[in-house]
Formats: sequence, C-alpha cells, structure tokens
Amino acid sequence: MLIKFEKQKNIPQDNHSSYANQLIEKIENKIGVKLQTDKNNKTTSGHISVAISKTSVQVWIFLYDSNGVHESESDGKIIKQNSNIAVKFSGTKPKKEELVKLA
Amino acid sequence: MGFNGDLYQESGADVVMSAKGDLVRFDSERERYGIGSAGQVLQVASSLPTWSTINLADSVLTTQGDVLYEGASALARLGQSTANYTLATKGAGANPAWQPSSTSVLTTTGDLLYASGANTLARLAGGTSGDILTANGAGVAPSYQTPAAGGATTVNTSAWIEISFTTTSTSFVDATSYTHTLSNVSGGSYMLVFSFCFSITVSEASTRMRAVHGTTDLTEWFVNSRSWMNDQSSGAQSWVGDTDGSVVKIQTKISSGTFNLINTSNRGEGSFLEVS
Repeated sequence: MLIKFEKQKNIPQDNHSSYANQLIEKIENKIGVKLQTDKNNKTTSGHISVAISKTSVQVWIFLYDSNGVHESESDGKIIKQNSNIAVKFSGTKPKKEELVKLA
Repeated sequence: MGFNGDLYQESGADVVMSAKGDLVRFDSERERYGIGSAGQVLQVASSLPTWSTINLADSVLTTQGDVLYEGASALARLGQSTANYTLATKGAGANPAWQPSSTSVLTTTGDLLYASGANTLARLAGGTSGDILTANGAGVAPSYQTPAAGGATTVNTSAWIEISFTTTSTSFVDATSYTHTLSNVSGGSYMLVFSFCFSITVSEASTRMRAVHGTTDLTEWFVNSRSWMNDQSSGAQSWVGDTDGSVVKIQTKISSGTFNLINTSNRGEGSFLEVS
C-alpha cells in the first residue's frame, strides 16, 4: 500500500536531513508503528522515503500488504521484491490528509 | 762562299713564305704553312707539324665556381650552380651535374625531408601545432594531419538538481531524481562516469547505494560509517551496454534506521557523464 503526497516547502539544504528524519518520526508516531528496523526490531511493516527539493517535499509511505514482500515505486509502478524483513502491515490505514499536515 | 740568308736553295724563302707568321714545312715538297690562331700550339698530326688548340684547364674554365671534368671527347666546364647544390655523378658515360641537396631543400625550421620520387628530395613544411605526421600509403607523400578526436568525448550529461533523499527502506529503492537517460542505447557499449558530491549520513552503519541500468548493477558503494562521504567528491565509471533500457538510476537501501543522501551539487559537482 502506498500513500504518496507532495507539499510545497522551502527548506534550506542544511536542514534537509533533520527535517526528513523528524518527518519520518512524526509519521511513524501518527501511524503508531516504526517503519524501519533497528536493534530491537529486525522486521518492518513498511518504509518511508522523503525527497526534498528547493521548493517541495515528496513523501512515500509504504505499508506492506504481505509478509516477505517489500514494496517500492519506480517509474510510477509498484515494484515488489522478496524480503525476509518485510511483514504485513496490520494496523489501521492512516488518512492521507492527516499525514500531509505533518509535512 | 757566300750565304744570303735563304735556307731554301731550290726556291727562295721569299717564294714559300708570303705572309706574316708563315712557316715552311715539307710534305712531298716544300710548302708554306700559315700561322695558326691565337693560343694554338704547333703539334704533330699526320706526320706533319700542325697548329692545334690544346684544351688546358685555364682555357676551359671561364667563371668563378666552374668545375672541370672530362666530357665525351675533351675537357669540359660545369658552371657553378644554385647555392647548396651538390655535385652528383650520373654514372658511367654521363657527365656529372649539380643537383639539390638536403641542405638546399630544407629551407625553414621544422622542415622534414622526404622523397617525392625515386632519388628526389622534397621538403615537408612544418605542420600546424598539434598536427601529427601521417603516412598516406605507399607511393604517396606523407603529410601533417589534424589528429582525429581521441580518447573520451562526453556526449551527454545529467546534472542532478539539488534534491535530498531519505529512506528507511531495507531494499533498494530509487533515489528520486538521481537518474540519467542515455542518449544512445543502440550504439553498443559506452562509458558512463559518475561524478558527484554527496553528503551521506546514516543512523546505523552498513548500508548501500548503487547505480543500476535496468537490471544491471553498474556499481555499488558500501556505506560503513554513520557519516560517509561527508560532503566529499567521489566517482565511478562503468561500461553500459544497450540491452537494459535507457535509464540509469541511483538506488539506496539501509540495513536499519534512516539513510540521508544530500546532493551538494550546488558546488558544481554531481552528474552522470556519458562518454563515447
């Protein structure tokens, strides 16, 4: 499952990394699940990508539909790759509008 | 007994010698022999004294620089020639002659000497700076040519705009905007050079970034520290075939945590160079 949006923003390049990391954390808190692995969580039910240009922020939120299948987007198409890290997202699908407000 | 000064008893000298310079000689009878030309000497020919012209060197050579040689039947003069010409023999039965020398043919600094024909010297003037001396085949004079463009020629570039990309993906995903569309995917293989200046930070060590062409992994970078390539330049190159489509992408993934890729190409770096 992909939730994708773009928001007009002008963020100085020096702040790109911190902005992206904070946005990811806010989205994870909103959804209620970490969408990344860490020392304690060896699997994940999704991932987030953030692209920041001089004028906008693009966000991709992937919530995996199946166990063992990683999802991503390439050239406008959903790409599925086998992954033993990916697990099915079992939470409630967030509303896109609420996520856009976080950006 | 008296002597009147006439040595010739049967007919007087005054009969035989009638002109100034006459001599008397005897063939079958006493005869008058008139004076020869100026410079001639009396020589025996056909058993008779004869006025003859003797070709002495001084009489053959007339001009400063003349050279004396033996002609077909007598001494002969070879007049001086063009400056720096050399004297060449023309073989048995032939007269020597002046002919151009390497010194006379080469006139300018940078000239080269070559044969324009059998035993014929010719001058090749210096070429334009950077030209190369080129053989033009057997029987053809060499020449200077402007060298064909060699080495690599950049045919297409993609300067990446200033976009930062962050992901938590554990599988490779496209780093948006970091792509290059090849200008010629049917021209066989050619070189693709990645030149960029990234600042990459990761929350956990061990992650990867790669350039892919279709399904072909062109090159891959391993990020093994939390601050890798911190605003540093790097690059790689790879041969790209024509079977994997026209787009080359940068992709990233991370084993855990977040991957931050900041293109600092505003410093003048960050591009794909497509080279043929």
